[in-house]
Amino acid sequence: MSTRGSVTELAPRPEIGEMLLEVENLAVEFRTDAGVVKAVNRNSFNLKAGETMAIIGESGSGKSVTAQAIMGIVPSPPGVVTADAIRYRGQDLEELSERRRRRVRGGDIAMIFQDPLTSLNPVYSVGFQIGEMFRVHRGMSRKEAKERSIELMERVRIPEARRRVGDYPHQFSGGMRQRVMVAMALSLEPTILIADEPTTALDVTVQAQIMEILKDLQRDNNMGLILITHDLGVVASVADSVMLMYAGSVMEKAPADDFYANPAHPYAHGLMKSVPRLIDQLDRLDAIKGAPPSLLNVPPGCPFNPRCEYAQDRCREEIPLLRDIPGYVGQVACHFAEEVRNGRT
Amino acid sequence: MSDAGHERPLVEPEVERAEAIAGARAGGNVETLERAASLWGDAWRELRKRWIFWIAAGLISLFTLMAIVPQVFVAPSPATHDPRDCGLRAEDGTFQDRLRPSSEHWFGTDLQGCDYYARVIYGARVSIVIGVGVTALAGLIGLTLGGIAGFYGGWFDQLISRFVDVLFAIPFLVAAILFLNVIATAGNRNIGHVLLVLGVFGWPTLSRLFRASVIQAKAEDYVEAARAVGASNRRILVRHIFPNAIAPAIVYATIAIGGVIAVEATLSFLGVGLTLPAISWGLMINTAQTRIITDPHLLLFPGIFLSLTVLGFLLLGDAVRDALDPRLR
Amino acid sequence: MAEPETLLEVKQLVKYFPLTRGVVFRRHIGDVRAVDGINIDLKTGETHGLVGESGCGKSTTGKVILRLHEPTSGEAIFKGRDLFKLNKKEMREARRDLQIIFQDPFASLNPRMTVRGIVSEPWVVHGMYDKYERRERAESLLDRVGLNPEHANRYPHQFSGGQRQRIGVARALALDPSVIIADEPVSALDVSIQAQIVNLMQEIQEEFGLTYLFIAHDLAVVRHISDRVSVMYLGKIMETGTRDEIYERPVHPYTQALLSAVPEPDPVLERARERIVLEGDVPSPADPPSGCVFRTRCWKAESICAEEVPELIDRGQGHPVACHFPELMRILDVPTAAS
Repeated sequence: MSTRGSVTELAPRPEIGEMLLEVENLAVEFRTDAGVVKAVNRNSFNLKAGETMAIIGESGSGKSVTAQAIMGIVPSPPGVVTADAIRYRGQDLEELSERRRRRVRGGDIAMIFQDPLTSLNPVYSVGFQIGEMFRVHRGMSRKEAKERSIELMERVRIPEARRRVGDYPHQFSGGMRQRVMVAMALSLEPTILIADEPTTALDVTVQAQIMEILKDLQRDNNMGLILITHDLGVVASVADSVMLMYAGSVMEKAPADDFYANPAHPYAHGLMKSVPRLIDQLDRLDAIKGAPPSLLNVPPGCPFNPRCEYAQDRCREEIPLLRDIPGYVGQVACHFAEEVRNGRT
Repeated sequence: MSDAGHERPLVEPEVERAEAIAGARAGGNVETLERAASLWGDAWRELRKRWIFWIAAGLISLFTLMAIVPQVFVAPSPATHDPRDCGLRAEDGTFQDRLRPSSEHWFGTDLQGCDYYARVIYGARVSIVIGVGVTALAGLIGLTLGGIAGFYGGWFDQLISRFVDVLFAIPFLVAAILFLNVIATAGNRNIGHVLLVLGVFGWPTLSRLFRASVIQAKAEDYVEAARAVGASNRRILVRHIFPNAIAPAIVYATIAIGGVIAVEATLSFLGVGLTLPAISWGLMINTAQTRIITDPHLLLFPGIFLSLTVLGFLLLGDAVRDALDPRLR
Repeated sequence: MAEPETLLEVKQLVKYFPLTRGVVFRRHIGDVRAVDGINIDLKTGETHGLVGESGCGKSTTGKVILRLHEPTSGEAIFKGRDLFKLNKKEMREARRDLQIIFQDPFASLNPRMTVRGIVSEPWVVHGMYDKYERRERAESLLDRVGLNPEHANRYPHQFSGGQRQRIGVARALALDPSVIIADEPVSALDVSIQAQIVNLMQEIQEEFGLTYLFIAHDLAVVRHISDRVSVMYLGKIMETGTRDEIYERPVHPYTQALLSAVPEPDPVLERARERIVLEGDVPSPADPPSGCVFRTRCWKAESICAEEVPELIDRGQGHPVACHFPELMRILDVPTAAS
């Protein structure tokens, strides 16, 4: 195999359960004219090979910025990224030179975005753009790159790949374009794939297709998958673990099954009660009052306190840290998590 | 009811409201309401922050005042206050022409012995009047036609747009010279003629610009919402389309004033604009061109004043564009 | 209890958008068949959900009913009169009774008008009330939709998305209409806010005596709020019935595929579900398939599907369906018990 440009000397394909990503106390701030925006506060998490983690949050929660920080693509004049560590397979990414960091980006950790129409260059054919990954990073010839592109397009189930390799992005539907994005992201066989709202812009029937493709590809390569979304349903079937974010902070972290069955944080609980369902019908939607705060003015103490029905004085004064609570596998950032949980069950 | 240490948040009203509902509906919040901030108000505040704006405003105010009340500027000068009061010979018989700047004649004198300072000051009037007048005329025609074309579309649009295309195809300077020569022979030309010709040839760009913004505004949901409520076309144009489409036109018009002033000077310089006895910086520069080495002051002063005036409007246009830009959505 | 009467009857509504070529002299080369002959019955007091994916023509339907786009053909009988035959003046009057809530809370409010101005505009347009009354009524409306009336002087950009949508609701209520067409009213909002707006719409429905045509692509929301539902695909209605008929006893393959594709926030349920995955892409509405428009993606398609357009009629399943081979599949019945 040609030079990988990999950060570590480990074998390219990770073993299941191998620790791929360790993030410790990640924080991202944006220094703007209007003030300091604390986009991400002290976020810590791990990702193992073969694992799918869902980062769930609404707008302003900091979920996308977290992903950008891992990739190292947070725009750096206004943005300031600090972390105790961001370790990829043992190697701290922050210590790397920008050049090596760039090779990790795309080569080891790849990302796909929400809107495939704007992420793809409209003046180059799809095959050219996929092939570019091979030509630039692997030094392949045009012909070889084209063959590999067709292979990849077939792998993401684009019908008639050979015929369509010369087509342009606008000739594809939204769902197909997203598959092209996935193909591009996978071309260098990354160990981690970050998908930022990959299905939000797509119809529900197409959504299911894309999620299936992602899951299959992950299985083939023991890839780590980070799914960023606001849709509680889309990740229910694919996530192993869930991290819930609100106004830049992590509110809860738990295995998916436990989280969905009985979440601990009042925000999570409120979301579950307010999202209309197809199968388990709710009689009424219990809306969470209020709205997510502007990040220029995050409420002091627990950022969720103005909207929380259980809020006490302590919630307004002291920021709750993520901690374990008895009777629950996951961790919660709430001062009264036990009481709330007991009161409910 | 605790006010939870809320400072002046921009998007807190819903939370305040929610708290008010959740708790007692007791007397509302401690915090008083923030002043309403319209987009124009925001833009104005943005504008005031920029130092370019202040420099531009200073220059423009200066020259506008000069245009309106030149007497005020001329008053402190020890020389004659009438720019046309020229004497080739002084009482003592010496030649008064082409004198260097001195304590008596601040800018020296010109070929006829006129006090140059007074002439340069009075020259501002022509420039400002033409600059603003032409832009206003072009604005009137351009915004009307562009607005009709953009809003009604169809045949109106076809007709107007093709007409605009034809006008664009005509080289401006050639046409201006031609028309000015036809309308009034040299000597008979006055500000009015120049204003008319420049205005008539100046509106196409503005109309295209405005047409584009109108088309963009027309496609917005809030226009559809107004239709759904039953609003007439007139109301939609005035209340919804115009205020939201006018911003790029404002930027362009501001910069255009500077451009027009330069064009007038050019035409006068070429001999096809104003002619003597009009007082125009362009004319002065024309006369000065053959004497740059011998009497540089003849070129220097009108040149500087002209440049500064044009600069002022260009800077203003820049500042206005920046201030309006993020609000343009 | 008497059967509620039909308030708005849409018959064979067709809307084609012409495709032209050429700049100066335009040639008509085809049509985008956004809405291709649909019938909808809106009964007094009900919420009728019009559901479908992007490009199916549901939003266009709503706008054509209000004549924000002129219909290509068809009728819309509202309170005894065909809306499409009204002249300008009559239509203006009729508009007082039919209002709309838009999808995008950021684009549907004029950024240069105050909230008070926006909400009062309907009264200004129709010459209703004097200045003081308008002021009072505007503030009372804002209060009713959950906003602080003291903020009436503010501008839209000073509010959050959910609040702007509330302003949109207030504006729709201003003329006290009988029917409100809600065009994806919650799609652009944050998850935790969607429920607030849905609840608000339900609350005011009774209070103001409203009938809703609720256009959306989110099947879960539609299930929650609707009394009856119509499923749209490529400009045509595939199936229509009461909410329970559609969700619990769907008989059209497209409806079934749609229901099967909607994910539920419950991993245990999700793993137990069987998914129907549709192949292929949605055809272009400029060149729809002959016969049944869904046949290119349907697993049951036979030759008759290409030859004959299936009518939207009851074929014995209890509610109208446009399919030659309708068959009941209880998609939402999942074998394992939910938690």
